[in-house]
Amino acid sequence: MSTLEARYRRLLGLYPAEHRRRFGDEMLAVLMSAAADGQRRPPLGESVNLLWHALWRRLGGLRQPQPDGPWAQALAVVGVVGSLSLFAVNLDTGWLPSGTAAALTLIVLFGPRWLVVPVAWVAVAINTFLVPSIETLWTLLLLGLTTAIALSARQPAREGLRLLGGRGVAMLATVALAVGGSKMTGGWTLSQIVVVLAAIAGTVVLWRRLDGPVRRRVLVILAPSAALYFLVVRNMYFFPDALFALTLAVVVAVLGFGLLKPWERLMHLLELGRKAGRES
Amino acid sequence: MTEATFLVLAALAERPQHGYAVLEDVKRISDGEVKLHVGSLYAVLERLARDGLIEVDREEIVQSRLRRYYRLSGLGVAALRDQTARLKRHAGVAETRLGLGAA
Repeated sequence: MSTLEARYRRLLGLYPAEHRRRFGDEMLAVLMSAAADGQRRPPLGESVNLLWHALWRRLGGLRQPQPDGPWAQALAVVGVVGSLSLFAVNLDTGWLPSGTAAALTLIVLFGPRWLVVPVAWVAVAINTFLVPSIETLWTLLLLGLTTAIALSARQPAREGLRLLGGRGVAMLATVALAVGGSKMTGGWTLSQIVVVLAAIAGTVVLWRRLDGPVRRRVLVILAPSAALYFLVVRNMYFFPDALFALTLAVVVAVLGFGLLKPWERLMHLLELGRKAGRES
Repeated sequence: MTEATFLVLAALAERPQHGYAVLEDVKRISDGEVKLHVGSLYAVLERLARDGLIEVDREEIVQSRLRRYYRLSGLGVAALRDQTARLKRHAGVAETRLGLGAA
């Protein structure tokens, strides 16, 4: 590798990984084609331009996920799964919160699309101010916020429905009804069993319907709400304060988002190893 | 539509081209007035691909380096046609007002 190529590679390394995967080799080829014979350093203008676009791409990438990228698809799915979960968790919390959650679920599933985002934020407000008990407040607030942000990101509910498929959505709706119904009719032990079975069923649906990268991102985005729900709401003897709830959510979120990339890299390397083993 | 975007679409109007050929063609079309840097070119190509105005035609490996050829999509042809008509209209008005004869 020439000195010039190494320097261009370093500059291209400033772009986000996803951009490098798509365009890195191609951009390097164009840069090297445009170089003069014997050139050792990138021209200043070219370097500044690459630096600027790498920075812009990083900032732009944060603002707007790729329309067909795994994060955008995961947000689309979270919009659907989150509204169903809100419905399930809210079923016994009074007519206004449960009615709003039910309305949000119906609008996400059947439209009209323009009502989705306003109703999602109304649900967040109602869950915050009219929540019947302190132990459910943090879960409902976090789940509501997660769902509303996902639904607001790019009006993605329709894409989420497409990804999950009619049967997948029907199964998730059944799971939501089972969780909500178990709280209203069953004893506590029965309710716990139903919730665990429902969680397994919901995970199986996500597992079967979604590609690995999308599925992992859905789980990472929903993990803080799920952790609060299972560790706090389903534990009747423990009433969390705001600091505990916030710490738990942040720790789970940091672990999830932080471990996602290393985990995917490890899986990729293992897959490469398996492929090499098969070919040899 | 920015000048760079218009010129990239114009470069791809005749036939599919790879990145370096687009750079050179843009220079040629603009009589050397517009020299795109590679970072700018790929920002334009990425946006055009995202908006569905261009698509990948084929990929080749030449001297161990990747060459990806892009072509205009149907949407891209329509967008270039619209923008060309708009620029012609504006240029015509400007010429008329300057008394340059064309209308």
